[in-house]
Amino acid sequence: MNSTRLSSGGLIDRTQPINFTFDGKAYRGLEGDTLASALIANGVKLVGRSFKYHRPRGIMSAGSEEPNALVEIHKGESCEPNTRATMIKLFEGLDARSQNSWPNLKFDIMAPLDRMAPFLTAGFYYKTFMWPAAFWEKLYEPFIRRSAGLGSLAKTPDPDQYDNGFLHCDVLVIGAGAAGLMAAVTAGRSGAQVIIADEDFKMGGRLLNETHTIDNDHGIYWVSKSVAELGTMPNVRMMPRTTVFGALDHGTYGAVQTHSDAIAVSGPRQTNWRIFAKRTILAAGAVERPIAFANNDRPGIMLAGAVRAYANRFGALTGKKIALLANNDSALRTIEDLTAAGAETHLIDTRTGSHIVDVKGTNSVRAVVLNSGEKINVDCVAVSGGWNPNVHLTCHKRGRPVWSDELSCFLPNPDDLSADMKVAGAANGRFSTHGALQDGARLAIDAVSALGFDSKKQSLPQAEDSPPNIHAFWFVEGKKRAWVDFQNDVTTKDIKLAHQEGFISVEHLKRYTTLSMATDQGKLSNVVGMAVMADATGKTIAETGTTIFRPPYTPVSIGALAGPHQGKDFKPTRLTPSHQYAAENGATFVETGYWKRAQWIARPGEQGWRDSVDREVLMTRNSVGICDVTTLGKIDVQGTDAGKFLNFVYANTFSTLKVGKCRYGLMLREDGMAMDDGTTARLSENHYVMTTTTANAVSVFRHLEFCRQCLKPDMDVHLISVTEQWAQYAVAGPNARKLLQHIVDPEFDISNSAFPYMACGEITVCKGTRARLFRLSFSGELAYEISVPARYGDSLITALMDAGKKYDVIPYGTEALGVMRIEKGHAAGNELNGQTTAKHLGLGKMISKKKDCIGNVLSERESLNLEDGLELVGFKPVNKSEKLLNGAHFIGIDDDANAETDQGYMSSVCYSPMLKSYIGLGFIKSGSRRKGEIVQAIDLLRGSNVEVEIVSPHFFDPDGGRLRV
Amino acid sequence: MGGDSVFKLIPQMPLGGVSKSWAGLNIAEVFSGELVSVAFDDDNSKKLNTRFKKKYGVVPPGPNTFVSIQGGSAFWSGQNQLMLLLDGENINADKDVAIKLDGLAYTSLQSDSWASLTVGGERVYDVLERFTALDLRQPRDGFAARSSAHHMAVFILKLSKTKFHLLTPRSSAQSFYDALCHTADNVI
Repeated sequence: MNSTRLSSGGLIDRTQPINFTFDGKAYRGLEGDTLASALIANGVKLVGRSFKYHRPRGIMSAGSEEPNALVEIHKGESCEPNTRATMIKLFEGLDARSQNSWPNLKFDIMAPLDRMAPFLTAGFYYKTFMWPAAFWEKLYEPFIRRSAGLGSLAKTPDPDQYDNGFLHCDVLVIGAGAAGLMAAVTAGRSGAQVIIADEDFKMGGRLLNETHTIDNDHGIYWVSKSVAELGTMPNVRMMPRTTVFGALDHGTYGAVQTHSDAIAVSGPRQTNWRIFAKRTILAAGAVERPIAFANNDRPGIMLAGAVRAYANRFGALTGKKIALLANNDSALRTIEDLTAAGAETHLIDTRTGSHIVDVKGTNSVRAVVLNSGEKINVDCVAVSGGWNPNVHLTCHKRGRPVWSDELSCFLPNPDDLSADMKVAGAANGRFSTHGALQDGARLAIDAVSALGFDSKKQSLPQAEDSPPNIHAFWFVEGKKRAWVDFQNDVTTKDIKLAHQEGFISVEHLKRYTTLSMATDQGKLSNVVGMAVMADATGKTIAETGTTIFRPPYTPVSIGALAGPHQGKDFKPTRLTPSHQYAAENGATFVETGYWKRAQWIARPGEQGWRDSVDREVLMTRNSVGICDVTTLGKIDVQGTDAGKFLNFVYANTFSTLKVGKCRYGLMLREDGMAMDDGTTARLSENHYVMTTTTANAVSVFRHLEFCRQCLKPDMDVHLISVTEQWAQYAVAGPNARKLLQHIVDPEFDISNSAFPYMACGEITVCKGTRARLFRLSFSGELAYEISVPARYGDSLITALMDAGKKYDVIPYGTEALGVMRIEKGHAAGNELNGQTTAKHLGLGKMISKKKDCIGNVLSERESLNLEDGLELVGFKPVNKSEKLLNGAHFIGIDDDANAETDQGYMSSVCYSPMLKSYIGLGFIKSGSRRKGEIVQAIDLLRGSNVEVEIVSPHFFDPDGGRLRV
Repeated sequence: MGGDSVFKLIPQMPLGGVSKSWAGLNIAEVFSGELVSVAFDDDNSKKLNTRFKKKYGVVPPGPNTFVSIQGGSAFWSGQNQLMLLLDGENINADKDVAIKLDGLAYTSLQSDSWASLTVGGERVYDVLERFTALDLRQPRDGFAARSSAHHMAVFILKLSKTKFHLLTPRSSAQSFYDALCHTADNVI
């Protein structure tokens, strides 16, 4: 390849060469290059294949609007597809590859698809592949899936680091061109906290690409001076390579900062920032748009502004003979700049009636044919169809841009802008440098003044103020295909076809043709597409309207969105006070929300979890076991109205509970369904401690706070979570008391008579350590729950285990806990599933009618109180060797299984080592009156049908004798 | 009757007293005394203010502030609620505070609910801006807020221009510490 690098000029460092590869071939670029500029400087024109037709494509732009030069960079687990070559800052060792071609870019086996274009028009997939029907799944769909998509994802986790962060400022300036820099400098001088962000790695915007003068000097000097001044201001944060991709609610903005395109760097590659700004000045500039003419997608056809950018900023010529097709004055600078750089130029000005009707050449442009019939041999075509202000961020909160006939573009609608945002410069349709500088200064003064900062009017630098002189010219009529959306291969024909087929709304047009639905989000194609549509319908563009711009402005990597939350940092882990003890003793843990709870604690020789769980149940029931129940929610309820408050939030009464006693409570939702349950202890006249289920600890606390603050604001009641404050252990089994007597200090009598079932109290343990004791039992055994401040939690489990050695004490996990509660017939999360009522649970009588409570009224709904409503009962298999399945549905013994014959469902099952068979709890119609009846427990998904007998839910010790001894 | 215990319980800090340093940043778990929540009824607020000032030398702090008090410090933690950080070890601190406030407030021991970390150094803002959503640069010393970091609750107390005190729930303290260190590794 021939180098097209100019011998001088540009903002590149010619002393710093950078080696890189593209499609395996080695090249050399310079510090300051993008991958795109380095490829152009090396004479590379063909960089990719189009999505649908596999047409050869070249670099078209010099910014984030690039639709063609999408490449994969890096390999293996770090492979990054669809990266815009125009946005990659060249780095040593960069390995980039083209996409969507096989076996290679020049010879693509799918290229013949281009000749099948008549069959692949807009929406072809809605009209074809209808027959034979069997082909869809086996042939069509696999083929389409294989053909679709760009690039390939790594199939292993990304090893690099990403981060999240939060920034705050008085003024956020988005874009660091003339308007943005002027705004930042002005706001910065006032002392306001300013953030200026720009997606480019170098600040300056289009001033970097042009030869404009400011104050009679090259614009770049003004840029350097401004950037240097900003660098001296401690109140200004400059963020190059930062794309503000979304205007979010409440004055917040999403922004991704790229720290490095390279991989395996120290620190994160990208940071996803949430910026909180009091005022925002959007100075995002504008992107040039193409004109649709036959074969306008050939490599070498570029935007005129990009052609100037490569020449002026990167010192690389895009061609030696360049045709300029333009409908406005801004493009005329291309002639000036490229002639000065030594290129031969040809102006084709649509305002004079001249335009291109065809392009010759396949992998690169060879010539253009004009409407006059003249053929001009060129190797590059620079196109300018005018400029589209970057209004995207003004639309993220439902703003709708308005059409300007004078400028032939959509402008931000000032009536739709959020109060904190103003738009400056080209983004607001002020395309001259003077206009941008003026807007930037004025809006910055407005912003900082509104925030109370003292800001003086600045003298504006002298700069050009020429009007764009645009005369709209959108597309060239013709038989050949003219591209509108380069990335999704949408042509003018597709849009016209869509119109013929009845698509009138632009939103429908977009979805049918896929216009502007690619990763470039229609930055180049959207307005041209609207113009073609308007022409087809005979309407104006203003009447045709535009689609909605949504975040993100440019694609955001999943890594940046995830930030550091991956692997073990994906979510927090909550550890119980006995976690270390359990881990050291062979526990297997289960996630319960964020908690890790010991599920079972295996002993050497045990072959599987059932061995461990059965042993834990048997040893607990025969002697004593200990389970960490710290995870249960614990809420301190204090105040003179605490009892009344509990009466209100619980279905049953708590104001009458005696000090030193506990009571089981059932909480209902407003709709009368069961919400949560637990025990509440009364420690003193005005002090209760409520326990909740582990799963509902947070939601119950939130519910109580709502009730306290909003429903009962006059009550003297105060809540605070003490879940983490107290390490709590259930000590269960016939020897529980004996064990605890070694721990509890002797002045506290915990005998059955002094501390009966459901007693509670403050005690001390182990020679004076503060503790609480509750005589509660979830297992059905003689049991206590003992709690100490969490700082002693690890020490207490060790003490309990040491003290219990003579009783063969064992720690048991949540599985054994679950088995014992099913044996005892206690409802848990599976039964409190949001679809059950107190009546379903057999607790209907708990709803006190002597007082009001949340859920009281709606619990009386007729449909919740049917005679044949569901009721919680027990189930055991007729054949004791058969296994029960949770989720099985109950069907009459002679009935077929279907929705009409469904009588209920199994909610919990376990193998009971005490009863030596599977047992289950479940809900069945009129369950309490059907004990002894045999029904089928059917699970169609898992192919199970077991005959079960309806029994009492209290399988073990139904009279409760064991827990009251 | 209860038996004669031969066991002695040993207190443990949530993270065992960890600390880690970077150039310009130090993170350390500290024992910051006993934490006691104090809640009071609106009707009692005037009396409580008077009583509080008498016993602790200052009136209770307002929203987003913490103040030094006799024997420790106090910070606002919600409407009609504050937290006292009291010097020294006293497992019955909540009961003592209740007595001191003469029954005008409801107290609850919270020391064990929270792990206590200090984060300080010239790079402290570079790290905390990636850790929590609050703007910590602007507020003066004595700023207090309840927020979240990496999905975990946190009380943030600004001790000085370059030093913060963070309180985070005990059970997830290891995740919190890991996330904070990870953030520091990313920045420094």
